[in-house]
Amino acid sequence: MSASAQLNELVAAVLAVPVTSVTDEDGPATLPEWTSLRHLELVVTLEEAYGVSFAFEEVRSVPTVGALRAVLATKGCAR
Amino acid sequence: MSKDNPVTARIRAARENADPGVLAALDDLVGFAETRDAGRLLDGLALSRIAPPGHRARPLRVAVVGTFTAENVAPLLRVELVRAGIDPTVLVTGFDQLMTQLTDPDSELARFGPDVTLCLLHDGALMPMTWDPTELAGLADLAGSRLSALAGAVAEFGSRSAGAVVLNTVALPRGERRKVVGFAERARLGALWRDLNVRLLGLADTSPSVHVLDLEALLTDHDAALRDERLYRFASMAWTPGVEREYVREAAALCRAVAGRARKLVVVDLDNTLWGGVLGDDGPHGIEVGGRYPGNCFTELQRALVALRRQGVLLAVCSKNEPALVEQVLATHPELTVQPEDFVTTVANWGRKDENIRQIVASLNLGLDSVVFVDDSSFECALVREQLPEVAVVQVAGDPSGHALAVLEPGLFATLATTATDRDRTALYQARARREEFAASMSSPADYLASLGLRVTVSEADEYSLPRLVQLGLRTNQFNLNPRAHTEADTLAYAADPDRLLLGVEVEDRFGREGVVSAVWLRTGAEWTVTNMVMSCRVFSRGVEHAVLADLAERAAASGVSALHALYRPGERNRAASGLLTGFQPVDEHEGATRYRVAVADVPPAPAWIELCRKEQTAHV
Repeated sequence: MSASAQLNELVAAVLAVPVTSVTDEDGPATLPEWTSLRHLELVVTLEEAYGVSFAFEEVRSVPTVGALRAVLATKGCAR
Repeated sequence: MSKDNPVTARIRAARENADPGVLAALDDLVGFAETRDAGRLLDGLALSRIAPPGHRARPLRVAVVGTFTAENVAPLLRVELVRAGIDPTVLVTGFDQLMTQLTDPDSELARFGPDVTLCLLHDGALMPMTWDPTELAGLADLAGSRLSALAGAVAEFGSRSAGAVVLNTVALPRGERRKVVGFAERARLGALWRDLNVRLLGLADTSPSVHVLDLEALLTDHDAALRDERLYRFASMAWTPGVEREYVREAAALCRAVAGRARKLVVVDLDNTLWGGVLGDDGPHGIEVGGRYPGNCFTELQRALVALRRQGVLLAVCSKNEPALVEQVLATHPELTVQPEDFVTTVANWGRKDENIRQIVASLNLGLDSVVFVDDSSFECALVREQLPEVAVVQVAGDPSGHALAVLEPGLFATLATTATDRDRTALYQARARREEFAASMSSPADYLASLGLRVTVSEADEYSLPRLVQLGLRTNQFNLNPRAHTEADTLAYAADPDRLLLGVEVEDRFGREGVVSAVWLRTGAEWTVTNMVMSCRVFSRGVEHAVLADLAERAAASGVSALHALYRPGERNRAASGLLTGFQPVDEHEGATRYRVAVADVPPAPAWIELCRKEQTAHV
């Protein structure tokens, strides 16, 4: 599985939506399931999955999956 | 790592096409995130879509009410409960609504009608946000008044709700502790905080339906932080996911106890399980037990088993060994902590263990779902898992120092409170075995019953019998006229209410006392209604239920009542109870059960082989 597919799957699992409905352009604005609480859970899940730690300031207002991927890349994670 | 988790994928697929293997696959969930996701997917999914045909899950309504946000508790709990044979309906109320949910008679919580209410407490429940840990004067009073308010709310809720209410002790976050720089003052803060937790724990004594989980103690074995400051500051999440998991494991164990799903029998292997080494190869003097490592590890396992036995769990040996040698070692080895009389039965032979377990369970009149099997062998464990999926299998592998803890897994044997009958249970079952030998020596069943010298005493519940009657109501599956008719709190209400009657039945015979083995819930009035009767399977086939009925008829007649009603709700396991209703006529459907009626004058007297006794009711001080 590619790293790109993996991030989408993590997002889909946390939001409990089919992975097909999560693209790099999707975010809290396009997916009603992406609430602020789910956003937090996503952050915690990504930390567990990638072994990284975020400052919430970095990820608080990330608008899309693509932007999240960019933040992960700055942490040296596969993009 | 892969996120294409096979278990969550199967649950998702089961929404479309039923998949009876999913239930067993839930055991493969390991990580926090995948377990939480699985729990979310299980919400609203009928268990029949993921469980094998014939799976009997016990419905349970659980409410999660917190003083902080604990989003993951409900999904994690759902997974644990489904795995434990429970079909949960979970309500999560909004953030920080604990007091209003408890005290408002029309709150979401009150309308939900929970069997179990989990009140999640964090430090904010005891202290205001602005408290100063360096200024201890007055803090005890402040926290004390908050605790009193909480206790009052819990009591008020308890007066309206029948369910169990579960509180927890609270750990002091390190941020508060570190604000105090003096070691002397830090010790005082620690003492004050512990005192608050002691008072919280004391609330468990205020009512049998209030329980307090000692979360602070649980966390001493937990390797992650209490709090993720980011989650707390940003979203009022006071517990890290790891703490939520610890809490859920303990809460799920309590839910199992409420649902009567606790295990009742440990079937334990001998070689490399109860002791180190192989008896047949190493000889009685070569096995490892007692003394230094590793023998002391096996002693520790034995201490765990004896502790379980003292609290009502039955122990049985199932070993591939020479029976004479086993008997000799159990009776004479000086280092053994377990004694032969700790075991309700000792099976040493060369047969298949699944068959042996079936026979042990049948001889004790228990269900396979009440068994825990403990063995070191991968082969035996796999065989039992495969052949007897209802049995909980604990494979003791690896370093023997971990074996005792593996057997003491919190979910397996949890019970709400133990009773005098629990402490004597092994002896009771052993007496039963002697009774059966005696029966075999008699020429006919009638001779046998006549020679038993049965004495049956029916009496109103008192403070001594009440805990046992509550327990009988919760854990009796077979002779149970109206399963799940009464929760613990209902039973307590029957004992207290002048218009209702709670009766306990004691049985004694030439082999000794069986103790309180049956309970009757009765609504009195112009015509009396037995809303439930339960009887332990230990005293089946002796006519005890007919003696109880005769006693009820006597009591009714003495009160000028001419008819008895009984509610019967047939289920999958309680057919044994229908025998009581011989001579009754069905009348109508009533409160989800069928109502039967018999004229008091038509109730036959107690069987000739039973002496019906009356106990003087004494007021206990």
